[in-house]
Amino acid sequence: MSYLELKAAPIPDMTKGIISLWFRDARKNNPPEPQAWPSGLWSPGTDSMVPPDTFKVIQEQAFKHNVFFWNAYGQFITGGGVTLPLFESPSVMIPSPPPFVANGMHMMLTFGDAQQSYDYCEWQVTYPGVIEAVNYVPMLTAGPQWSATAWPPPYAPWIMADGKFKVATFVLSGSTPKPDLVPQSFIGVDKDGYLTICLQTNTKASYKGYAFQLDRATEIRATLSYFQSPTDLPPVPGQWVKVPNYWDGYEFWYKDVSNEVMGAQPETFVIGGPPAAFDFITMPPVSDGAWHHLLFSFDISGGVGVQWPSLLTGGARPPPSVATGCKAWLALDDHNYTGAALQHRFAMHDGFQLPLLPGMGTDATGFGPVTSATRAVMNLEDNAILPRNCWVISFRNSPKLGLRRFASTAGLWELASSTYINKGDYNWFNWTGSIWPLEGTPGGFEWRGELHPPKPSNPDPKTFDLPTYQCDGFIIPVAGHPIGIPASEHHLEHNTGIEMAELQIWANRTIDTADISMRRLFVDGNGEPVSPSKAAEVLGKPDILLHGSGNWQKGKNTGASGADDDDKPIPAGQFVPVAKIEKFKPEPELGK
Amino acid sequence: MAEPAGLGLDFLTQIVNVHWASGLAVEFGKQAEDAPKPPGPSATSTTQQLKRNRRRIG
Repeated sequence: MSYLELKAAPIPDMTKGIISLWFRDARKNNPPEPQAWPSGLWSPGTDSMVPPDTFKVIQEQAFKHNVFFWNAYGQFITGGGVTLPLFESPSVMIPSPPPFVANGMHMMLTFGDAQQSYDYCEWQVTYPGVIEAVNYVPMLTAGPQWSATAWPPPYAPWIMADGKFKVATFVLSGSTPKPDLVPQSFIGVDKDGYLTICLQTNTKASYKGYAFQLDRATEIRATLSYFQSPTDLPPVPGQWVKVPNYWDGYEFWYKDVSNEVMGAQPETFVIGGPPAAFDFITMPPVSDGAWHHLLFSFDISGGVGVQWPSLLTGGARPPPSVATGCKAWLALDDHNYTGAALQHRFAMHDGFQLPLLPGMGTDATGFGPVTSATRAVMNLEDNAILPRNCWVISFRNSPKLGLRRFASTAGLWELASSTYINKGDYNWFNWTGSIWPLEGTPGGFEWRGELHPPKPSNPDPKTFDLPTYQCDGFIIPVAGHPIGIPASEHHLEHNTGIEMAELQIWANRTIDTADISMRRLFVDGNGEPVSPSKAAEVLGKPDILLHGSGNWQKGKNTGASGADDDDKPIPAGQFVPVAKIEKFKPEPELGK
Repeated sequence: MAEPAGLGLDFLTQIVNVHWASGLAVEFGKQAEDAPKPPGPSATSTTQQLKRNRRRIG
């Protein structure tokens, strides 16, 4: 396919811009097969970029004798000794994956750095080096049932078939930059004819509270107290003997890895695109094979902050705190679009809009860890836009709420009430279901001991951050990078044949497309192009101007980057035509 | 100079528009093999270069 390319654009990096473009019949040929997100159940050395589902990993032969106290997709909800087949909160939210945005795209214009990498960090299994966990024989009835096999325990009887379990966890490795996952900025038409604009910045955001790894486990040890003289009931102080250092479980230490997980890709804004569930409003598709005109302007020089609160009791989701200084203005075929038509939610592999990817964990609901919020939830002003990851929302609750602070087997049977007692705020009820029978205490007359576990010394995950996004200083790297029409070499497969006319680009200027006098600088009342000189009078000479079939065929840029004040060509600003570009009739006119 | 009656600026604008509003569009979509070959060393010049190199080595 033929195309024009300017290898190293002599125009500045952009935080704002105006692009005006006539195009027609962008879907002559099929785009390349969609690029899949590398997926599959985690295994050592895997290529999968889907976070590990430890519930499935322990089913693998190599991990049959490991126990994980962390799962990227969440732990089952437990309470009162009952475990529900529902996940509480994912420990790791998943970002908007990069190949999806260019999938199925018929490109019209690509610009910006084509060599940005996706800084992916692999998940690696590690072993915290603590005493091994044991699957204890469950308590069947109240009272003594077993004798300890060793004294003093750490170990009481366990089900031999299961035995001991080495504690394992997952941590992120250093980043392995992956090429070819981050697209250039582009303007394209998707497989169904929906106009899609991607503004790919080189700016990294600050993420907190989106992903946690269980970094470290430490043992906690309890003190056993037993009563020396049981003849003298009830027991009185002073007759209890304390024996410290009984192993009593683990406490867990976490690290916030949100930047590594969510910020692997520099921030991206996506405008337009196909309808998604509950966000049906879009621009009309441009699939009729007739001429269309796009007038697009953006300003991403402002900052963006988003915070997602936890669910209320009962499961209601409070609205997020959202502040954005980023805006876009778009007129398609002389009609101004704002709100959900401008930017709305997008489909994620949430088990609802798109199927879960292989290797993704889920609960009985079948949903994935994250989905995208609707425009109504984000409550944005008409022209406000957000980076794509700001739309990502936990399908369940805040990641911090699903993290175990500790795990213990120290529950004791209380004789008086015949119920378990949870010591202080320490015991995890689920774990106390497997009792540690502290029988066989030394002395002539045995009496049931009482265990005094210490309070956890690790930070309480409940105090961790809510999912919080913060970024400002967005920049689209354009200077010195290729501009391709309809696609540069990097995205050549997405060049599927198209007719185009009258491309005008201003770097770092904006216009409001709601203002009809601005639209009339580009499209007249009859739906025909207006002389570029009109826009130049108001907006100044565009940085890039391709005007007239002859100039298009030669790649002659007569904008400020391609021609000096005396209209002499600037060689560095000229496009190079590749393969045959032909003159085309009919002339641009909306609907023709 | 006074404009002729009925030939205001609108008329002039139309003339200008007619003048420039033709020959605007192009079509991308031809296969690469249709394209003229990019300038580069021809077979002959490559052969001569090889001969020169051989002479230098020999």
